[in-house]
Amino acid sequence: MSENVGYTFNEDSPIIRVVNEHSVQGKITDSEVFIRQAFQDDPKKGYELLFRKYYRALCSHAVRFVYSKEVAEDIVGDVFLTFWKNQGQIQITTSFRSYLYASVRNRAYNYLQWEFKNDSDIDEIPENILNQVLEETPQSMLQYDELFSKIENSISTLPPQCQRVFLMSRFENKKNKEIAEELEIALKTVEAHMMKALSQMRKALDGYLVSLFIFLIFSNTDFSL
Amino acid sequence: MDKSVNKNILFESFSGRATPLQKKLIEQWLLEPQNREQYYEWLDEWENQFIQILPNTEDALQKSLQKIAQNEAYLTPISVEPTPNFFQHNFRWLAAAAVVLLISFGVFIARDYIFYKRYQTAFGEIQKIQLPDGSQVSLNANSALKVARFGFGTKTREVFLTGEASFSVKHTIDNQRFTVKTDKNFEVEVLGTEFNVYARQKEAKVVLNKGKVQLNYLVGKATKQLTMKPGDLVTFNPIGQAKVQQIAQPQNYSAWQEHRFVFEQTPLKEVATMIYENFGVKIEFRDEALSQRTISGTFHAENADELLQVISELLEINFNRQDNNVTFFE
Repeated sequence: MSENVGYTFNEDSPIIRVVNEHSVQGKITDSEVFIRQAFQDDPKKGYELLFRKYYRALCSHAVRFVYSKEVAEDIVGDVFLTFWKNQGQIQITTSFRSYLYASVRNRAYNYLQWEFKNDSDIDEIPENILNQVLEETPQSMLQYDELFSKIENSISTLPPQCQRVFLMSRFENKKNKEIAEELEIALKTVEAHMMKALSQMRKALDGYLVSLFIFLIFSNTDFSL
Repeated sequence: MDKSVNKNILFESFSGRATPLQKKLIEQWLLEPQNREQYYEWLDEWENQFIQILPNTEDALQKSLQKIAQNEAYLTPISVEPTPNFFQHNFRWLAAAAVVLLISFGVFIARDYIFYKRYQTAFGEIQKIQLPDGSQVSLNANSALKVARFGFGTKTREVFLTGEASFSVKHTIDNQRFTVKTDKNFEVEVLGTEFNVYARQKEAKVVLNKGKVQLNYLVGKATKQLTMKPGDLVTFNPIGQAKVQQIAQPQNYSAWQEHRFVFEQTPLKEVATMIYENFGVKIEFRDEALSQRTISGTFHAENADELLQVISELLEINFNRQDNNVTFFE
């Protein structure tokens, strides 16, 4: 009755939804053959190899979106843990690299959505928000590229002092008060700089967050409640 | 393999320097799954060339392994209940999430009941509905249709569908549009026509019998449009891409209205999905090869039992039924 469209679609294992439906097994590049072999011999060994191979570059990628070293590392760490929990080495039909990059982007994006849309003061991010998965399409892949370019652009066009304060706060983990003391400026000024930087970042994000929001309504509303 | 995009173009794109035309080129190129692999390979290469931060990989790895070890300690012995630590650790957001969920749930329910009239069919039930504007809807089993209580036919003609339904839409004097919204990535917009919409978990499709409809659908964040001709079958895969096919007998797709089931070289596996969606009966195969056998013909069946009987006789196989679980075996 229905057409046989070649894909699997499993609500219970989000990991399958992250990777692209079309299996490219056999096309997987040689550089991961060793890692796959290691996973077969000893999953922990495989995991360590995978981690060492991609962790640094993935953090570098994540930081382009979230502009915070700590958050970027958290995101990448979580993606690896999810990989382990879901036995990615068995489930994933694309290369590990594709899966990891796609997941990191997705998670970084969800994090941004949470950071800029959430007015409440819950200091822990609900796991379910970070785990929301967007389907990967050529458009979405390019939009991620555009998004991080835009964010980088918005930060690099900040006035020098403002940029300095922002990077100290986000990359050296300094409290506003510490920054004020170090730069010998008023606390209020630091706060103002931070506000400006964040609002600039939010502006770069605006179009993207709105469209994400619509997408989530689209995919999550259940009319048969 | 498509060689239209090379590493340089992609690197330019990553650096935010690609022209709109190059982006278009990349987008086209990315439709090919192997090229997506290539894309991530080059992205990784690019990141390694233009590294932004220098995290301590070894520290992070040790932390990660520790977390895994902790996690695995929690998991043995295997228990269905989440460990207390999970709740303690996440109590604040769990509580917050619960409150948010409760409130939004309440609002959603209330809004729904105030503004919409809803029709819901049980497994095995087919309902015929006449809308205020004179349009007819047949709602297939295990499906729901929501219609606005106020303003339907005067301002807009919009309905929301989950599951499967056939529509026979009345053309109004003022050419008012009729829109079927779904919880998938698409909606159907029509003037007056006959068509079948299927929007269930597994996939989504629209079949047009008569007239002309327009599909508005979302791929990623872009809205696309597609105009259907009679006999067109449009299938949406889970990533939202649409595929158009011409089919000889579009009416087969709405045969369910007369409790008829039309199969054409249909694998048993798909028949099983269909039975599950329509009657809530879950089917398993003792032997995987069995699920690959195909079945053809038109069958009349009012309930799952009749259909199961026909299938087992036709293929000369047996089945066991316990409540809503059925196992086929040879």
